[in-house]
Amino acid sequence: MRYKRSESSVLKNKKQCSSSLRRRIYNENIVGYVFIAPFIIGFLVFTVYPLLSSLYLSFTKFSGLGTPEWIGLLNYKRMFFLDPRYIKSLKVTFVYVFIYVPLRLTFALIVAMLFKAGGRIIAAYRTMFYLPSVIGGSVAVAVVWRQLWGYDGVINRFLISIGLMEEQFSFIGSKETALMTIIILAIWQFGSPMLVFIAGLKDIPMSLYEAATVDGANGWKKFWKITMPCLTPIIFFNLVNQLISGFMAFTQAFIITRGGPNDATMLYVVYLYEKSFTTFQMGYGSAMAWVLIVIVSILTAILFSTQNKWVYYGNE
Amino acid sequence: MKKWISLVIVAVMVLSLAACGTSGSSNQQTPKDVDGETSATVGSNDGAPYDTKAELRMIWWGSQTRHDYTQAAINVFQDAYPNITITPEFTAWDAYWEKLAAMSASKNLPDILQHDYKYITQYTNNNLIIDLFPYVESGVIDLSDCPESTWAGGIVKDKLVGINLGMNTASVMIDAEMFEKAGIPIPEDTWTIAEYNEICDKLLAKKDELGIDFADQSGKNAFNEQMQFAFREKGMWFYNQDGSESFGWDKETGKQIIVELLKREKENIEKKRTAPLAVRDENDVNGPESGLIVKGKTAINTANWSNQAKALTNAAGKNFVLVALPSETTTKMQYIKPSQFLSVSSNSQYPEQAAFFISEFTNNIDMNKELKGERGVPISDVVREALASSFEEDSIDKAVFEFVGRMAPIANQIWRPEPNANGAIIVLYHNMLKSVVDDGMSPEEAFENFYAQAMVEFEMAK
Amino acid sequence: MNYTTKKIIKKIIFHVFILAICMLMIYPILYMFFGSFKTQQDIFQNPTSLFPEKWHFKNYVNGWKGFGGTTFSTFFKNSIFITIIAVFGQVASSAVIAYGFARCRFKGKTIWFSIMIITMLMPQQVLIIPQYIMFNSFGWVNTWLPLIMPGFFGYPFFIFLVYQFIRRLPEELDESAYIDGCSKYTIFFRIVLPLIKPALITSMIFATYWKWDDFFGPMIYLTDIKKYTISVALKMFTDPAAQSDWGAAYAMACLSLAPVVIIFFTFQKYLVEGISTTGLKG
Repeated sequence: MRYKRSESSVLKNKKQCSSSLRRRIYNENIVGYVFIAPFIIGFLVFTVYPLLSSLYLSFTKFSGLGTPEWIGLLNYKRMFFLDPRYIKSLKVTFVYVFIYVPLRLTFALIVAMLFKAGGRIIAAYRTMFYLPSVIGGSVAVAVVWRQLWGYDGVINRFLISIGLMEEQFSFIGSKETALMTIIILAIWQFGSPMLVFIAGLKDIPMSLYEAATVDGANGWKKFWKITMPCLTPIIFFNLVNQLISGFMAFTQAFIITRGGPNDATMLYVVYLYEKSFTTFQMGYGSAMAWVLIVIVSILTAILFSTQNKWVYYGNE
Repeated sequence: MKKWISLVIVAVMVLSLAACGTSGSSNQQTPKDVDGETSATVGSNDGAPYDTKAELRMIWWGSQTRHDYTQAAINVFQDAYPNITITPEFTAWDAYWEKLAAMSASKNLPDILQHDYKYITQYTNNNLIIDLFPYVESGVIDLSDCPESTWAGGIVKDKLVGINLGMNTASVMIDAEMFEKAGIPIPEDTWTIAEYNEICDKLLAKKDELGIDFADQSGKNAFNEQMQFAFREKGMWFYNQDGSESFGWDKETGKQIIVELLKREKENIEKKRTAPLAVRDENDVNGPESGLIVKGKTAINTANWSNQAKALTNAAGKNFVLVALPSETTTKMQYIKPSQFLSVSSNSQYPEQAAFFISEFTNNIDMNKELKGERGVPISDVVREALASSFEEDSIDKAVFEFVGRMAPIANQIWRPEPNANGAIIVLYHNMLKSVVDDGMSPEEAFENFYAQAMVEFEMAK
Repeated sequence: MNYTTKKIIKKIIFHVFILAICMLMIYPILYMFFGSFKTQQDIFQNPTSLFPEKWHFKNYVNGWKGFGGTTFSTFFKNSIFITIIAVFGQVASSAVIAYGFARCRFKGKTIWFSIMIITMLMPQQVLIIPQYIMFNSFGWVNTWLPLIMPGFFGYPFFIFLVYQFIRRLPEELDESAYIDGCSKYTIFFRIVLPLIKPALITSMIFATYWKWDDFFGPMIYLTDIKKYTISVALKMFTDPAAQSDWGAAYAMACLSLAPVVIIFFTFQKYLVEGISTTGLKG
């Protein structure tokens, strides 16, 4: 797959000196820090304080209004040993993430492949497929989603009219189907990974495809031998990012079901929000946030560790 | 991989060490006691409150109508008292309490806050809002036209921490046309649950003719109200009235009452007297206007608040008749709930002027003509009469005023603001109802689950 | 059937199929669009019909007049100003930082990178109060600074995105430029930056939409209605406990979509033009 090797014939004669060269180029501590300086400054100025104070609050009893009171590890203990709704929200979140991430990425990739070309009609299609993602958590999408999937909704009528269902049924209000409607909503808004895929597809050099055509490869073969490997860094990015956003999902479940019915859509962050702001347990909410950080960190770390098995970068 | 995890761990440890270092400083932003500050300013006899030049900030939530009405009322006030300027900071309901919590952590609260029954205890306990009784005594706040029962809901721990902006009570909305078509007379306010069941069954007998799916939509709030009523009818309160995190009943008595209630709900849903729980859940999130009664799919809608009647009427394009909730006997368990309060924050520089503004907001007829009773029925008798005479004969505004006027004299005392765990307890008892109705769990077993979980929630909220 | 007719039929089937899916995708938006021409009664009594019974244009008038005398032209101006500055800051700083992470070897890089990823994992809900306290101590409350300034110090999502794109570039590019006497800084500006244009445009499209749509920040930090953004104003039409003007809410939501859609439509062509034709020539 390492396409730039074949591309960079000019550089081939310089290969022999490259190891000593690399050392000189990259042993640049100062240059590196100059480039990432904005991040470090921003982190120290804007992020450290809120992060640390939420960590501190996680060891306190804090209503969000008064003075925090130190209670040690009690919040963390409650979470795992006392609070069955917490455990349930953890389960719901894992189900959500493991259905949503693969489906959303697959859809995004298929659509990106279909619409990667130029041309006006295709551009219009692309815009239409991206549109759902820009209406995000607006009032309208919540209302519409309920009118589609509700007791008296369009989908209900359709299923009854074609005889698949006999009685009206509320997909949003029933605990067996509510999470599904939230997942469908999240998948429907697949525009952001799609856009990243399209940007990634642009970078793949045409000459690779030309060479493959000369070798007699068909479209399918080209996809697996050229497109997919070249796209792995982008797939990796989307995977990490969707995993994170899956665990952080809040808006859809909050505006459509408020975590109900029967806690069937009580995603982690929705529960954290309920605890922090409607039952005045900000300390507990902060503890939940830190547990979430640890869980997602571990999963992200695992993903990063698998990188050298399947992700191809330009330095190999 | 290992390296990465170890780095994460190191980073987290470094952060947590640093956290210990800063823990002292995060204590500082929380407001210190402000007791005593306010009493000093009360009774300073240097003229009327409106002689002092004051700039006040006022915050409220609401929709476009409320923003426009309130802004107009503020303009009337400023024209009358040019020394006092009011800077409005109005917002949406979403994130209102987050915003207020953030402001209070920095002692940056506006002088005048629109407040809600659910949150007012927390704000009182943390000394974020002041006691207005001294201003009532000194005459800055004039409550002479307001019967005590209309503003007593604003008393927390013997302090008057908010003035009620409007009276509200739970209602049953009735589609009069449909009742006429079915040949059923409109029920009296004194109707009982047995009569309610009978009316529902009569309506259901003519289901197809009327085009309804159920007799009663019944909201999520209906079950909340029934829960409260069931205990009050037995002379108990749902929550302990001493302000602690506990129920107002012992487990055995509570079990009897709740099991009875669950059976009744189940029967009603099975007989299609009321809509399935899924439909109620949906309606609760969608807002009152999306209710089945708007589409003519039910003839009754139980337990909307009286101030929501207007929204429903506008959406349906027809007027509804309001009656009291049915109860076991003809004695009503109905109560008047404050729709919202205005409170004065403890970091206000001009508490006296803020109190004076609230007094005008309550009593000034010109201001209330701009406010148009949008926040609920005004508590001042004089204002109420003035407004009532300005409404059209058949308008829903008039009907709501009349209904609240009918309920006020027979209303019971409202309970004390709920404990912190209330938000979670409501979710738990709706879950209990769901497991009985939808999953066929026995009411006794569902109650046991509910009780055990409720105890955990109380424990956590302490 | 010869080859060309087969191809044409295939094409027709493809377009019909895609169009059908397109309808599914944009149905809610159409619903909102047509809803903006319905009366309040029409919205709630015929919730499942797409088209209005009678076209009703007053929602746009009622919506545009805003709240208590401040109209939507103010909110649009504010949102446009904030979005332009914040997007520039986010994308520019993120590109610089990403290059540092992707192409420089320095001590502590892994730690900083991990910290950056961790900052993406923090639920915003628990940060509201501490962040407010911090910005209040800077004296930034009721200004646009809390919405604009942090972006100038990089935005982890974009840093990571651009980082991945830079890492796909062959390192020999940098090496040969180095031999030609370029410094790291020139390499970044002259060679790398033009090559990661797709990543930058993608970031820009996202940044625009996210800033435009951001509700929580403006809601918490702004108190003066003259400084409110579109996203905050849109929520002010509806109140779950009181009467809400849904028609006006739909109307303004439609208008507020327009700039984001225009940005997408204009810039997407830079993303796809030359896909599979130019590509990268090492």
